[in-house]
Formats: sequence, structure tokens, C-alpha cells
Amino acid sequence: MTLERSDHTLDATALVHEAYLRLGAATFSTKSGFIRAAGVAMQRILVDHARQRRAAKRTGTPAHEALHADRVIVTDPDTLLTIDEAIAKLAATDAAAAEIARLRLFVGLSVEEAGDALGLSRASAYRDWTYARAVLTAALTFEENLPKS
Amino acid sequence: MPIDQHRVKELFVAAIEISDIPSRDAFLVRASAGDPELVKQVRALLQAHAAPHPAVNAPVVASELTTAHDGVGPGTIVANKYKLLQHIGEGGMGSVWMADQFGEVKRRVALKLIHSDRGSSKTILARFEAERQAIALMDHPHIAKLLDAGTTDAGMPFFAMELVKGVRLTQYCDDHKLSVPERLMLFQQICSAVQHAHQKGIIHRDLKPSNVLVESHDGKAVTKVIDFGLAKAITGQQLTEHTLFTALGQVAGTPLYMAPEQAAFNALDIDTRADIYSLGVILYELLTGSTPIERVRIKQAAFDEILRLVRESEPPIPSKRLSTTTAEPNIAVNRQLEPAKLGRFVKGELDWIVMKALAKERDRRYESASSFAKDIERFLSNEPVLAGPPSASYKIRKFMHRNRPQVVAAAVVLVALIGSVIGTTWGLIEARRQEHIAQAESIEKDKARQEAIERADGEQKEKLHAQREQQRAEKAEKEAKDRLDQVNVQKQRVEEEKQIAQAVRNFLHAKLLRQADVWVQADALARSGDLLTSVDQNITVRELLRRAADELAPEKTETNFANQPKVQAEILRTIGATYIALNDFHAAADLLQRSVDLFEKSYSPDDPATLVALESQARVFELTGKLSRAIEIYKRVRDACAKSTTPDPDLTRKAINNLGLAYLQLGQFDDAIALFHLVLKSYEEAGLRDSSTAAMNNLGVALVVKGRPRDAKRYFEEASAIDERVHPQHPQTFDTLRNLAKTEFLLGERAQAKTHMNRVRAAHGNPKLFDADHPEVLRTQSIVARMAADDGDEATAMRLLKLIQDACQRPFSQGQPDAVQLMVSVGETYLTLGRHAEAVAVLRQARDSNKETLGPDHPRTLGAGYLLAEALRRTDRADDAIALFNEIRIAREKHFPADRRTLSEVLRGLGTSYLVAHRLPEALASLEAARKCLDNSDDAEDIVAIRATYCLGVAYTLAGKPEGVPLLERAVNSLTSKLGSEQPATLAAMNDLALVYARLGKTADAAALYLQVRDAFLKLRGEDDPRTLKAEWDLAMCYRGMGRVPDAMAIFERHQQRFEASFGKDHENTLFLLNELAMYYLKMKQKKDETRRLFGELVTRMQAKYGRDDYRTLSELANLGHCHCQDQQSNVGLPLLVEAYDKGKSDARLAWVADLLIDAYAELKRPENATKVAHEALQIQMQRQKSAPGSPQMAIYLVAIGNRSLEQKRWIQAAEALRESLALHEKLVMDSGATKIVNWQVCTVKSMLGEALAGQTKFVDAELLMLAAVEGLQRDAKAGVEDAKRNLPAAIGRLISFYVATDKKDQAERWRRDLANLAGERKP
Repeated sequence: MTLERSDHTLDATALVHEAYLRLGAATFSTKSGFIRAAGVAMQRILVDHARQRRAAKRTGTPAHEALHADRVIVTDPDTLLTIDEAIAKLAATDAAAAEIARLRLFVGLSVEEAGDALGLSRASAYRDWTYARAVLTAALTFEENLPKS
Repeated sequence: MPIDQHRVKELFVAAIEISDIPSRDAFLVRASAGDPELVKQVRALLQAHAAPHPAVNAPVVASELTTAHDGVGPGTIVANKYKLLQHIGEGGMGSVWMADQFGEVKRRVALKLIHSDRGSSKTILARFEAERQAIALMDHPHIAKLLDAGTTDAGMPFFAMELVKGVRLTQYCDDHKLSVPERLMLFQQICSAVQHAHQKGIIHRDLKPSNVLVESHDGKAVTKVIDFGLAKAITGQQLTEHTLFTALGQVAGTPLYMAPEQAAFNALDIDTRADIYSLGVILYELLTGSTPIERVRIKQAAFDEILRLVRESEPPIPSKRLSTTTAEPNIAVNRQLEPAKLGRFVKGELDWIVMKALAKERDRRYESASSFAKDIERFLSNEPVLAGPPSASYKIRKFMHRNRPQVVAAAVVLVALIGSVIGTTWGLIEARRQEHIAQAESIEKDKARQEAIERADGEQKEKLHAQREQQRAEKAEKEAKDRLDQVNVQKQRVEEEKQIAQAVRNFLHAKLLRQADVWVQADALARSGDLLTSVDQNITVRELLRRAADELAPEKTETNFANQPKVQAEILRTIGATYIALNDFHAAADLLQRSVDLFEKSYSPDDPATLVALESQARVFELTGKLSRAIEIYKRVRDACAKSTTPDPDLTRKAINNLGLAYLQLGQFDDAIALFHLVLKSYEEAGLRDSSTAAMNNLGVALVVKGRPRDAKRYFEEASAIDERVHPQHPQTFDTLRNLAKTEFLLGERAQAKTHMNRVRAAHGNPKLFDADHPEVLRTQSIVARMAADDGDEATAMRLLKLIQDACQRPFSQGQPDAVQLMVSVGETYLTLGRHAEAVAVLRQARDSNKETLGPDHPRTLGAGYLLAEALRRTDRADDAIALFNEIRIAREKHFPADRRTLSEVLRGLGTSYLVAHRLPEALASLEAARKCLDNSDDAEDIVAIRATYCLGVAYTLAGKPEGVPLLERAVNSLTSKLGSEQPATLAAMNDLALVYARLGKTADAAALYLQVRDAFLKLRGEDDPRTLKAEWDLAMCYRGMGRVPDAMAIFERHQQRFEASFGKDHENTLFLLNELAMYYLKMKQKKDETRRLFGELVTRMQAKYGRDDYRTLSELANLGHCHCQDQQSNVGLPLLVEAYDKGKSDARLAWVADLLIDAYAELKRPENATKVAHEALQIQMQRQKSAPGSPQMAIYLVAIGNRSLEQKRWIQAAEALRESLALHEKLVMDSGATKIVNWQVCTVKSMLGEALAGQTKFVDAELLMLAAVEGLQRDAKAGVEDAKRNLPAAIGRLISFYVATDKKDQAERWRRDLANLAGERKP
């Protein structure tokens, strides 16, 4: 007869704070800010694209698909979505590594360029990248070994 | 304990530097301090590192010409004899191409290439070589053959194999709709291939449908086993000279198809029987369409959890899987059978064959692939098979080996069943009571008559009176007789119910208990002490119930219960109620409907028996979210009770209470509250206040959700006081106590909340009273976890969350609404902890589960969805969050329009998601709607209203609307008065408001708030608490931003040690702080020794953290050099500056170093060096500027160049540089609007340009410029600009020189006087 009702979170204030910071922080470093924003935008475009492709019935999907005239997506939608998820997950514990991965994979920057955009030294950029790549590989290997429906 | 991912990273980064595997391993074990989980995770990453996935080795987008295959593409020629045609596959270490061989032999082959960027790894090379050798060893029609091997021009190994133009096994079977026998024959081919490999000493280790391709040859299906990439040599036969998979920490294979013994990091002991297991999985999938461990389960699990699943899960037998698979019709059609027939075909021998191959213990599997194939042969030719059902004793042992709690649980369900049979035959008790009354009355009447007769005999004289007495006695006798008749009717009913109860009991005993015997035994064994893990118990109980229900199927009831509709109705009700307990609402609904129909027909619609059945039926509607139907029925029950001549007060109260609960869920809080009050009153009038605690509790819950926690608290307090007195150990007692604690927590009365929770914990921690994973205990823990999280005690919170999660994910609990509710609370606490990714995972699972069991519009589904959306938003997935919030909003508006508070919260979530997604107009609309929902609520009372106000305030502020700030201020005030100024939520809001103030330039207000936050934490937590430190930091940063640098520095100075300890020596905040202090001292020319020490320290730390050549290290190096130069130690300082300059000159961020160096040279009177540096810096700067607009820095360099050129009288060069500089300055002034700051610079440059033009005899322009310059400087000087004052004399000097040179003596004289005046002014 007793009804347990979960009380909703009290800490909504904290996350609005986050949103505020996110919108307000654009004044910092223009260059890296722009590139990072571009990374997020690019990722979003690609992920949406992948979702649409996955949703469309698969009839002999071509290995590569044109995005613009001279650019092709070389990663299949499932993999891309897995990468997207894995980056989001990585970001929770290691923002820098996730950011590097985003810039490297979705914007196509070299590791050093990505590091530069984030204000990381060459060494730590490479270190973060190596780590991110291993984490993403683990996520992918794992996903791939599942049979595809 | 969860593993700290930073620690994983640290170890991983260190370990990849060690190439030698044994030393690496030794390092890992040592560095992890024996934490096996940590080692496991690092090893998984190391393995991934050894073979990065191709998709993450290059950008996902590439230009067409260079695709991901590192320079290899269609048309590439390999080893001068293969031309690549098409990329057909990708493995961890190489790619597979369809290729044409040209030259002597012409044929089409599959070419496996190693990725050149991975070629350097020894492991990869060795693995590649192993695969080549393995294939070379084999020669079998069902294994793809090796044709050639060699190295590419780049020196990378490759090999050519027979090209298999087939599709994967499962796809082929389904595409061609192969029947089960056809599938089995195909499977035998695979067995023979695997047998061949085993005979050659090769274990495949990665058998799965995608590694078995099927080609059609003349309409005949031929299988080919491919990809020996993970093959391993059987002991004694080395495939390569390198040790391969004996290396520690590798998990090879694919979890879904992997043998249990493979699923260990360090699986050294793998033999051919691992392949047998994988074959078993393949057969299982061929028969049932799914793998033993279902794909979804693996998808939801973490990596180590998957391995655990592989090792421990007990898959259902194939025929059983077939009977539970939702896609069954498809599966059967694809096998050319009707669904029912497929199950029957598989059931029995095929089940046994598959399960023998899938035995967890290797000894129990087939000893070889060929004996596996042979058993299938026997099956196909109808001979008895080798495999058989497990023996009874084995089964019981096995069962025992699983889970004691489950055995107990099964027993509990059975007991509950029997219990309900006895307890729920209403009428039995009631009838007995009536019987007693009637008997008593009848005795009374007899006595009266006797007395009357005696009196009549004794007092004949009073005959009349006696006669009257006689009549009265007769009348009494008649009344007694009527009463007795009535009693007889009751007795009849009692008899009937007794019979029904007996019949029900017989039926259930026959259909259920006898079959459950094995559990009874198992239970007995379990009690004797053996215990362990998991499985299927409730499913089996369900199965028993299903069989019982089958007997009740409409077509069977004719024979089973001819003329016994009441018995049938009672059984249906009993089983229906049991289904409710098992959360199978669908099954329950059907049975209860039939029960109600039967009762209504055989008794009456208002008969208590009917009402009891109706009550159960309403409960099902309530639980499945069909609240309006539930309400309808509860109302009917209530009205029937009210009408009844012999109302059962308990049934009445129960109906009203349940009606209240249904209203509560609908969000009609006022109606719910009124009904609960009614229940309370009814108890009170009956003098049963002590029995009314459940109603009090429910009233409390309704008041809390109505936003009146203070009123609720009173009821919780009274209820728990009574409960603790009346039944101190009853679960309900703790329930109420917990609700009390939660409410206190909500009200910010933390100390009290904790005291109450401690009381609950004391009981729940007692193993004599509760099992460790009893739902009540877990519920308590979830609240403790939440409180710990709120206190910032992450370790405790995480420990408890893990515990709850583990318990909820055991098979018996999985998907149970109670367990799901717990998972929701776990997710919520993850949110509090800021672990958003974990929250997303847990909440998604919970929501999906609710959606499935309770339906998409059930309040619990929507509640879990709400939290999931919150979590999504915080993981940067604003779009997903928006979609979900919108879904919930629509559902709530449709089904729960009365619940404005919850709707407000959903709208608020939606609005903040729009904020995160930068969709401001939509955000404003949603948040305004959220606020509007609560127009009648008082901010000062209702936390939901405060939140809505607050968020709207933030949104307005972001939109630049002035009405935002007052809303924020109101929210902060409300929070302060409601929760107090020292609660986390209040402090967080103050912090935000301070941030807004700071951005709006109200720095004084900001600082005041920051100060308040700081003082609160200082008081609550002391100086060393991280929160206090964070507040100190915010305050200092605020002071710094508002120009109160000394105040900021005072804080930095005071807490320098603490900040260092809290952030860590090398944290960027620490480094920032030290740098700030040092720069401050430098600027104030204070504490010179300390300044040098700080810069020295910064150099050391930056170097350790980022390397000597990093721009940050170089910055500090330059600063240190500069300090030394300033302190007349240029012998020390100059080399540092030179190093910083040389290494950093191409880095835009270090452009300022050139300035310091130029200054230093100038100071040392080495103008030639200064010029050189200036020139070089300018060159670099120009290079950089090609694509970017000019910077102030560049303008200054140009001035430097111009100045030097003037000194050297190179007029043209000087004019060029200065003109450019002037243009740049003017542009900068225009862009920034910062006229005051740079005007003096513009004037100075003009003056210098004038000099340059004069040198070129362009006197008219020169004079105009110089005059304008002096005029501008004078104006600024008058306005108090120090720099203008400093530069004015030089500009006048230039003018004088000009007039002298152009022979305008009076003008020259005039300006000389001005200059003298100026000097006179400056001197005093």
C-alpha cells in the first residue's frame, strides 16, 4: 500500500550553470574555440547522417559515401555511431582525450594540430590521442564482434 | 570499487613505453598494487593499442583520393603481380582485398595486406605470420586455401587466398530458407573443416557465422571457414618462433561465440574443445535465430561484465528459447516450419546435442568436431543420439550450484499461492462470524421461552399476562427461527466456499506443486548449506502457472470444471493475483477478467467475492498505466460497499485508499489528499488510529508531491511513531521512516534525515532480519547513497550504487519493477555525482524496461525518461534530450493534465535542453510555460516553482533580457528563506547569480555573493574543504576580474599551499596561481627574490609537465630571464631570454618574448642585436599575418622598425614601415573602439612618419602630420594620459628640428618655448 515516489533532483541549478558557461565562454581563445565548435558541428552532421543511413533500408550499402564533391565518409554508419557514443563516454572521464579524438576523427586535424587547438603540448597531444584511440578501439572491437542484425 | 579511469590512463601510458611483454606485465602488477580490475582494464587497452581499429586510425571523412587504406586503393599493384580491385574486408591487423593476379597465372584471389602503419608492431607481424602458416598447413574443401605469400614493395608481408564468393552462414541459411535438416547438413561440413584444422594442430578460436562463408556450387551449398587470424597452435607445434597468445592479458575471440574458458584475461589453457563450444553456439543460432547469450544483453553490459556472462550464464535450451523469442514466426518461416512444429522438432534430442556442445565444463562437451558431426548424423537418420538429458541428480546439483535466494524466492511464490487460497476465500470468516451470532441469539431465545413457560406455570392467576408472555415468546421463537434460516443460508455459503477452497487447493496442488517438487528438493538441499549463483527460477514458476492457466483455457474448462463456475472463478482469481506478484500483468488481466465475469454471473455484481476479484483487476489496470479504468473500478467497489447492508469496512477503506493512490498517479493531488483524509477519518471513528499508518503515509506522499513537505512531515512523524511502537520490525515501519527521512532531506533538515536513516540502516543491516539484497535493504541503501553523494562522499555513494546495481542485475531481479525503480534511483544519484555517462546507461535500461512492462505512458516510464533526458542533456546530447523531453511532455499533457508540477519540471528540462542546444527562442517559450504551470504556487513554499523561476531567470539573462536578473534574485531569496543560506542548492544558485552579476559588470554585487558563498563554506566545512577552496578561488578570480588585484593576490597568497595540495602541484590551476603571483610581484616590483623563485619553480614544473620546448615552459623561461635582467643579472637572464626566443619564435603565443629580448638588448646598449631581433620578429609576424588581420603586436614591431630606420636615416624604409603601422593602428582603434588607449600611439607614429617624410623632402605632408601628432598628444596629456605626456616632448622636438631644417625660425622658437614650459611643468 505504500507508495515510493522518487524525489526529483535538487541540483538542476548546477547544470544550468553549465549551460551558462558553455554559452558564455566563447570569448576565450578564438582559434581553438572555433575549431572545437567546428568539431562538434561536424560530429553532429556526421552522426545525423549515419543515423539516416542506418535507418534507410540497407540494400548493398556502398563502402564509401560522398558527403561533398571531394569528401567521402569512409566509416560505416554503425561504426561511426559507436565512435560517437564512445567519445561521449570518454569525455566523461577524460575531456582532453575525447576532444583530441573528436578533432582528429571528425575534423580531420593532425594530432599536432588538434593538440595546438586545445593548447596541449605535442607530447601530451600524442599521449591523449594514443589513449583515446585505444579506448575507442576497445569499444569498436567489442561492438563489431556482435553479429549485425 | 569502480576503477579510476585516470589511473587506468596513467598506467596505460606508462606501459606502452615498455616494449618487452614480461617486463611490462611485471610493471603493471607492481604499479597497480595488486588491483586485478585495474590490471584487467589496462590490459584491454594495451591489446587495443596493439591493433588500433582502422576506423579510428584516420579521420572518418577523407578526400576521395586517399581513403583509409593508407595509400592502398583500387588499382594498386602489389608485388608486381596483383592488382587490387575492391576492398572486401577489414581485420584488426590487415585489410582484405579482391585482387586480380596477372602474369603467368591469371586468377582472382583474396589478398590479405597488413596495414603499413601497424607493420612496426612485432605482435602484428607475428600474428600475421601465424595466420599465413596456419592456412598453409591445411588443405580441406571447406577451408579457404592459401595460394601465395610474399612481401610488398614497402616490405610488408601479404598473402593470397582462395577467393570465397559467399555470404555469411546465417544469412545464407535465412536467405535460402533452409530447413532444419538442411542446416544440420551444412553444419556438418563446418565440423569436418574444424576437425581437419584440429588434426593439423590448429585451433581456430574465433569460429562464428561471419567467419563461415557459404558459396553456391551448381546449386549446392558449400561452406568455407575463413579468418584464422586468431588461430593458435596446439602445444608442441610452433607456428612461429614468437610466443603469440601466451602473452598475458589478451582476450582473443568474440564474446558471443566464445567458450567460457576463453573469457578470462590470461586464458592460457585453451584447447580444441573451445572450438567445439563455438560450434555449439553456431548450431544454437542456426536453430533458434539467436545466440545463447542474447545480443542485447551483451550490448548493455560492460566489458568485464560480458566476460562474466560468458563464463557464468546458463542459456535456456534451444526449444525453450524458441518458445520465448518474440520474432518466432519469422524464425520458423525461415526454417520451413510452423512455429509450433519448429519447437517440437528441436525439442528433445536436438536440445541435448546443442547443450552437450555448450557444456560449461569441457569434459562434458563432445571430444571432437567429428563426434559432434556424427551425433548430428545419428539424429538425421533417426538413430539414438549420444547426447542425453542431464540426469536428475546432476540437475539438482547444478541447480544448487546456482542461487540460493532464487530457490527461496520460488518457494515464497508457492507459499504465497497457497496462502492466498486460504486467506482470500472471503465469506468463510464472515460467515463464521454470522453463525456465531445466530447461535448465540438462538440460545438466548430458547432461554426466554423457557422462562416464559416457567413463569406461566408458576403464576396461573396472571394468565392474561402469561398469555401475553407466551405470545411474546412465540414471536421471539419465530424471530429466532427466521434468524436460524438466515444462518442456514450463511452456512450453506460457508459450506460452498469450503468446497471451493478445497477444489482450488486440489487443483493447484495437482497442477502446480507436484511439478514443483524438484524445487522443493532443491530448497531442502539449499538449506543444508550449499549455495551459489543465478537463473531462471521465476520463469519456471511462471511456466508452472502457465500450465495451470492452460487447464483453465475456455475450451478445457467444460471438462475440468463442469458446473463449478465458482471454483473456476476462484482459481482464475488466485492465479491472476499470482501473476500480478510476478509482474506479468498481461496474463493477469486476462484471467481476472474471466474471474470477474464468472463471479458476477454466479453470485451478483455486488457480491463481496466479485468485489475482491474486481479489486485485483483494478490493480492490474493501475499497474499498467490504465489509470482511468482502475479508477472506474475502484469507484464501483467503493459504491457497492457503501450500498451494502453488511458493509465490510476494510474492503471499503481499501477501495478508497486505492482510489486515492490512482488519483495520486494521475496527478490529481487534491482528490487523492481528500480521499486519504476520508480513510483516516474512517479508522479514527472506528477507534483504529493505530491501524491507519499506511493511509497516513500515503497522505504524506501526496502532500510531498503537492509541494507541501512540511505538512507531510507531520503525518510521517505520527505514522512512524505508531509503527515503531506497534510493530517495530515490520517492513512498513521502515518504509514510513524512510519517507520521513526523505522529506527531511528535501526540507534541508539533513541531521534529522540522517538520524532517521540510521535507524532504518540499523535494522536493515541486521542479517537476521533481512538478506543483504532484499529490496527493502537496497532501497535504504539507495537513499543513503543519495545522501552521501549530496555530501560529496563519492566513495561511499559509488560503493553502494555498485552494490545495488549488481543486485538489480541478477537474473531474478532484472526487469522487475522494484529493481527497475531502484535502478532509476541509482541513475539519479549518478546524476548528483556528475557521472552522467553512467547515469545515461542505467536510466536508459530502466526506462526501456518500464516501457516494456508498464507501457510507454506509465508514470514510472515517464519518470525514468525524465531523468534519462536530464542525463542526456548533461552528456552534451541536447538534441536527444530535447526529443525525449518533448515525448514526455506530450504524454503528460495528454494523460496527466492535472499534474501541473511534474509538467512544469518536464518543461523546465526541455527549456534548459534548448538552452544547451543554443535554441534560445524555444528555450524561452518552454521555460515561460514551465513557470506558467505553477502560477498559483508560491515561490517561497514550492521548490519546483523556485526552480522554474530560477531557470527562466537564467534564460532571460542569456537572451540579454533585463527581467532575468530580478527572477534570479527572487530565486536566490526563496532558496535562502526556504532551505537556508547554507544549503548546497542555495549556494549553487548564489554562485550562478554571482557569475551573472560579474558578466553584467556588477562586479561589486558579484563579489558580495561570492564572499557570502565563501563564508558559508568556511563556516560549514572549514578552511581545508575543497568546496571552501573552490569558493575562495571564485572569489579571487572575481576580484581579479574587477581589478581588485591586490585582494585577489591576498587570497592566492593565503591559500597558496592549500590550493597546491588540493589541485596538485602540477595542476594547471596551481601553475596559473603561481604565475599570477609572480607576475604580480614583478609588476609591483616587490619580493624580488620570491619572484625569481616562483618563476624558477614554474619553469621546473612546466618542464616536467609539458617538456622544455613547450610554449608554457618557454613563457616562464622568458619571464625568469626578464626578472634576472631587471635585477641586473643579465649574464643569467639573457641566455634564458635568448633560449625562449629562439625556441618559441615561430609560436604566435610567444611573440611577446621578442619584446622582452629587444628591451634587454636595448638596456645593455646592444642596438644591433635589438634591431636584428625586431626585424626577425617582424618577418615572422608578417608571415603569420598573411591570412589573418593585423595585430597590435605587429603595429608595434613596425614602429620599432621605423624607429631604427629613422636612426639610420633610411627615410623610405622608415616611411613604409610607419605608414603600415599607422594604418594598422587606425584599424585597431576602429575595431576595438578603444580610442583612449591607443590614440597616443597613433599620434606618436604620425609624428615619426612626419620625420620620415621630411627626410624625403615631402615637407607639406610632413608638417601636417607632425602638427596633428603634437596636437593629439597635447590633448591626451591634458586629459591625464601618462603615455601621451611621456611622448609629447619627442614629438615637439621633431617639429622643432623640422622648422629648423626648413628655416622657419619663429616657428621653431615658438615650439622651443612650449617645450621649455612643458619641462618646467614636469619638474616641480
